[in-house]
Amino acid sequence: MTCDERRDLWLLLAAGALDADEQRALLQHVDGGCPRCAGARSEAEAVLAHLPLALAPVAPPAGLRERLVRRATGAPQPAERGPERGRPSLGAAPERARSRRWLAAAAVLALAAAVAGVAWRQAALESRGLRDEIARLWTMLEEARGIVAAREAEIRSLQSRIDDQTHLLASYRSPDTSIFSLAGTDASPAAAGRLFWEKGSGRWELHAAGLEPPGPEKTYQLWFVTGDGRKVSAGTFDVRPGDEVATLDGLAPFELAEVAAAAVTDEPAGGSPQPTGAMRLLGQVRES
Amino acid sequence: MGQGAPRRGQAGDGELLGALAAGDAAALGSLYDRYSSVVFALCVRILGSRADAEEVLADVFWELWSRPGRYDPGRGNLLAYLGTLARSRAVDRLRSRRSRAMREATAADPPAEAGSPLDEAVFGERRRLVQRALGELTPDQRQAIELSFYSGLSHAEISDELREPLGTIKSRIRSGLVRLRDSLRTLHEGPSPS
Repeated sequence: MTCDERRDLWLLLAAGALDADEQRALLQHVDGGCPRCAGARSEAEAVLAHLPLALAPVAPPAGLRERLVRRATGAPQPAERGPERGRPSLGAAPERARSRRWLAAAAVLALAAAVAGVAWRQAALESRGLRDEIARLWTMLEEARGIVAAREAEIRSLQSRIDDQTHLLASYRSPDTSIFSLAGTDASPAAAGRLFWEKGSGRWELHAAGLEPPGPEKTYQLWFVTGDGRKVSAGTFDVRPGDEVATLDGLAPFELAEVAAAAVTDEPAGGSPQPTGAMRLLGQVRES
Repeated sequence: MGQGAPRRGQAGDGELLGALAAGDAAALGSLYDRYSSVVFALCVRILGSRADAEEVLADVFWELWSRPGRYDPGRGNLLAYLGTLARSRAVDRLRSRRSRAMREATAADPPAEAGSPLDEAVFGERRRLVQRALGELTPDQRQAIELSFYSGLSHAEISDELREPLGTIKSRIRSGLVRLRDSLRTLHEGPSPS
């Protein structure tokens, strides 16, 4: 099993949907030090962990916060905190008894030191609180900037898609544009294509839908077949998982009238001088 | 939130965790202000009982106070850790209760905001993204994922409840989670509130 194949399994593990054997095998792999799967595991856990954010927040009962903080104030963390400084060691030898006067004096001095310490700590905390608040605000500002940048990128992407669609619509409406259909072959029965050709400029644009990703080290290549049987490469394009439509455009080195057909084949990455792979799309390029 | 308790200045999660690990109980209060309403909403959703949810919420924050070293920032942000902890404990409690008949209506739960207006802005943005991602799932995918996440039911029990084959349920959960992962990619790669 490859790490790519394991990637979805981490989601199932995080959701508790793997049986014990599958879970053990997966954990053994990541415990072996695979950084890619460690990342995939964190990613899967984050997907599940974000689900509660979809819920409307609910105010906890009043008083719980105070009880927690009060309990924490009176109780050091037992599991991880080491012995506190100043706390008497259990193994210390007992000191000899001292007079009550000495004890009282020591108690007064200790109390004074404690009061001074509390006052100093209070001042330090107030100063630190201000610094913390400024640092916090800077962090929040950076986060807000990040959110704005993400929204701007989304807007730019949408604008680009609108521009593409506007251009396509303009081409579609232009009387100078001819449109030809390409049909999927037996190798890609679900595929279909449209070829737009602006006669005045010689500019053409192919929109291919329903093509699967071409596979590793492969690409798709468009060919124009001329009336005398020459097959002229018009360029290569790829299809990624999830792509609904792939597009390719260019300027033709000949007139539309010279073209008899257009075809898409799969070829080794980088393309081929002449078609070698399976034909995926085919259509006649003849004006009616 | 805002329950009238004295608050210290707001710091980042990392600073607050450092202070908490050093024994500063006020840092626990600040982290509680920031995350308790989200964690409590999760507990109420799973348990259907505010009383039980309160106990789990207290348990989660006490665990954070008692064992701060258990949170590994490399595995995700603090909210993810608290949410995972809360879900695990709430589901354990739900399963031990063995009956979901005790669930109470939660419609009257008072809404809450995160610790500060800026916290609320960040959480609000993240909430919008998660809700949008969930909205992109098919109803079947969403139902299967929510049952799996919130009900404490095993996948075999979900299969029984929905009267669908176990393989279909697992497949729905898998395809739904893959879709969520892709939709939430910007959230994972984007800014974190901590």
